[in-house]
Amino acid sequence: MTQISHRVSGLRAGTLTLIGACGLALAGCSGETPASDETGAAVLAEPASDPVPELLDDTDGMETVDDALEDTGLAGIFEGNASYTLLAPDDASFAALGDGGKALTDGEDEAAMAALLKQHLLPGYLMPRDIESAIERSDEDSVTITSLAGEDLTFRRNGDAITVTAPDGAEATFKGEALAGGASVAIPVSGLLRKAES
Amino acid sequence: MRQAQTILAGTVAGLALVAGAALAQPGNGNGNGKGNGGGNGGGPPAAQERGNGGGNGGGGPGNNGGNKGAGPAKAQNRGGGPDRSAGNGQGNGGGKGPGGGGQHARADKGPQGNGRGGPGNGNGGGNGNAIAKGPGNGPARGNGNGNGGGGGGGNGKAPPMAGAPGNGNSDARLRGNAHPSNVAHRPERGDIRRVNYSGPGGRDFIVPTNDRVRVLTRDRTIDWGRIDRRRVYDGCPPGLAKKYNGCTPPGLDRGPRRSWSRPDWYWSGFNRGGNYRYLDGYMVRMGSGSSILDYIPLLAGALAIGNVWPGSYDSVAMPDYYNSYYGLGGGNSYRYYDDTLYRVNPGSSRIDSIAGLLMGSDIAVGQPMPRGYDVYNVPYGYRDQYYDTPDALYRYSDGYIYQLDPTSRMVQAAIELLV
Repeated sequence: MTQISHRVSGLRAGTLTLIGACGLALAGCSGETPASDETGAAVLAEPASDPVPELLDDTDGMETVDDALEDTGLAGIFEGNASYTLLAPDDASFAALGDGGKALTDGEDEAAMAALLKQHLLPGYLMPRDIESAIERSDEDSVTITSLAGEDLTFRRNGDAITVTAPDGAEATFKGEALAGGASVAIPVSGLLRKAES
Repeated sequence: MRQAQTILAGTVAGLALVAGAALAQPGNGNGNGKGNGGGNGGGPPAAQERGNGGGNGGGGPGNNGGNKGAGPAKAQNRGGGPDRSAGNGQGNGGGKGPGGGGQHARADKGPQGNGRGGPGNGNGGGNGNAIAKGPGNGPARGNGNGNGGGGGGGNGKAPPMAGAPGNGNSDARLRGNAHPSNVAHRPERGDIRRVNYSGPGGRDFIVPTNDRVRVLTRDRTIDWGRIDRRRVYDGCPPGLAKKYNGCTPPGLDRGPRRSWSRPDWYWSGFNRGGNYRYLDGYMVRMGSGSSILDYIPLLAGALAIGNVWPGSYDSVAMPDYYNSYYGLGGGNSYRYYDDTLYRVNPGSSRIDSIAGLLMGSDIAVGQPMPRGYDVYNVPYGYRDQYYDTPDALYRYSDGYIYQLDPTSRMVQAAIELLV
C-alpha cells in the first residue's frame, strides 16, 4: 500500500474545504488505498512508519507536547508494539497555564508533566471516527474511555466538534488532523484535561 | 519534512468524509431508508429497537455542498422485545446520510461548491444488522438494507476525482443497524480460521484465529489484585536526608503551592489517609512538622531515565507474554512500578527507557468488561482480523485484545498478539 506523501500542516477545525480535500485524498488520491471494502465499510489508511512523537515534531503548534514526551521519557512508549492514543494538547493549551505553568513546560517538574500526559493517553488505537461512531450509537450521546491516569474521560459531540471532559470538569476539543504513526495515534486537542492552579 | 499520513480529526464533517463517503464526489445523493429490523415477539411496549432503517438515496443535484440525504435514520420500532428473533419489521427512515455503505457515517455534506468540477453522482449501498436493546425478552437482531442513489450535477471543489461514484451512508442514529461492522477496519486477511469455543454456561462463541495470535478463554491474563502496584516505602527517599538536613525539607508543612503538588494530580482517587506532598520527584507523606514518614517514587521524577533503580525498590515479575510484547528483554532488564514498565541496564540498573504504560484493568474471562472501554480501539495491525460485529466486540488493553459478547459485554476471550 502506498503511503500518502503529503500532509496539510496547521490545519484547524472548521476549515471544511481543506479537511474535505484531505479526506478525499486520503481515501482515494493515492489510487491504491481502498476507500471501502466489499461491504462498503470504510477502510483505514495505513499509519506512517514514524512514531507519534516524530509526527508531532513535524506538526505546527505541537512543540510543547512533543518536548514533554521527550523530556519525561514517555516518547519511548510509542516505539514498541503497544498501541496508545494521545490526546495531544496544542501549544496554546499549555500557554494558557500562564507563568505558573512554566514549571511544567520548562521541565522543572517533569514528574508532574508525566502525570498530566498520562491523563491524555488512552489505551489502544483510537481514530476520531471510532469515537464519533460510538457516540452516535450511545443512548447517552456520550462515551467513556479511561485514561492511562485511571480517570474516566467523557466524549461528546458538540456541534461539529468532539469534546472531552475530565472528572474535574477540565475540557478539551478535537482539532486538526489525527496523526497515525507506528502503532499509535495522536489526536490534537485544544485544552488540557486537568484543571491546574499554579 | 517527513512524510506523514494524516487522518482526519476535528470536525464531524471531516470525519464523515473519511468514514463512508471517502470517494464521494461533490455533493449528490440523498438518502432514503429502507430497513428491516427485528420486531417480533412479546416485549413490553416500550421496548425500543435499536437500529433498522437504511438509506436509499434519491438523486438530486448536488450543488454547493452535497445533500444531507433524506429520511430519518433514527428509525425506532417499538413493541418488539423478541428473543433473538430475526427481525421482520419494516423500518423506514431516511437518514441524514446519502446513500448506503452501511457505516454509520453522517451525511456527506460535500465540499463547497465553486462552479468547478464535473458532475458527480452518488450511489451507495449498505447492509446493516440491528441489535435490539430494550427491556424485552432478549436481543433482537434485524437486518436492514440501505441504498442510495444520487445524481445530479455536482459543483463541488473536488474535480480531481470528478466522475467517481460517491458513496454515502445512512446516519449513525440508526443505532445498531448500521453495518455488520460499525468501525473502520481493514480488508479482512485471508488466513483467518474461525474457531469455535465453549464459554461460560456452555454458550459457544467463535474467535477469529490464526498463527499470529493465541486465544485464552480462562481466568485473568494477569491478576492485578495480587500485585502491589504502588508500594509505599518507609522513611526518607534516597538522597533527601543529606540534602535536607535529616529529611526535614523546609516549607513542606505549608499547603501545596501548585495543583501538581497534590497527590490527586498523579493518581485518581488517591486516598491513603495521609498528608502527601510532591517533593523532588517523590510523593512524600509528612509526619509532624516537615518530617517525612514514607514516600512513593514518581515516573519521570525519581524514576526518570538515567537514574539508577534503587535496589530497595521491589519490582514485579510480569507474565512472559509481556516480556515479548513490550520488548522487555528478560527478567533482569526491566522493572515494574505503578503501572509503568521501565527498561533498565541489567548491570547498572540504570533506567534506559520507558517501555510501556499499563492500564492495569481487572479484566477476566467470564466477567463483564470494566467500564471505560466504550470505544473500539483495536490496534491498526489487527483491524483486519478483529472488528466489531453484531456477534462480537473487541477492545484492547495492555497488549491483549478482548472479545466481548455484544449484549452482556462479558469477556469471552483474551487474545495475545504474537507478531
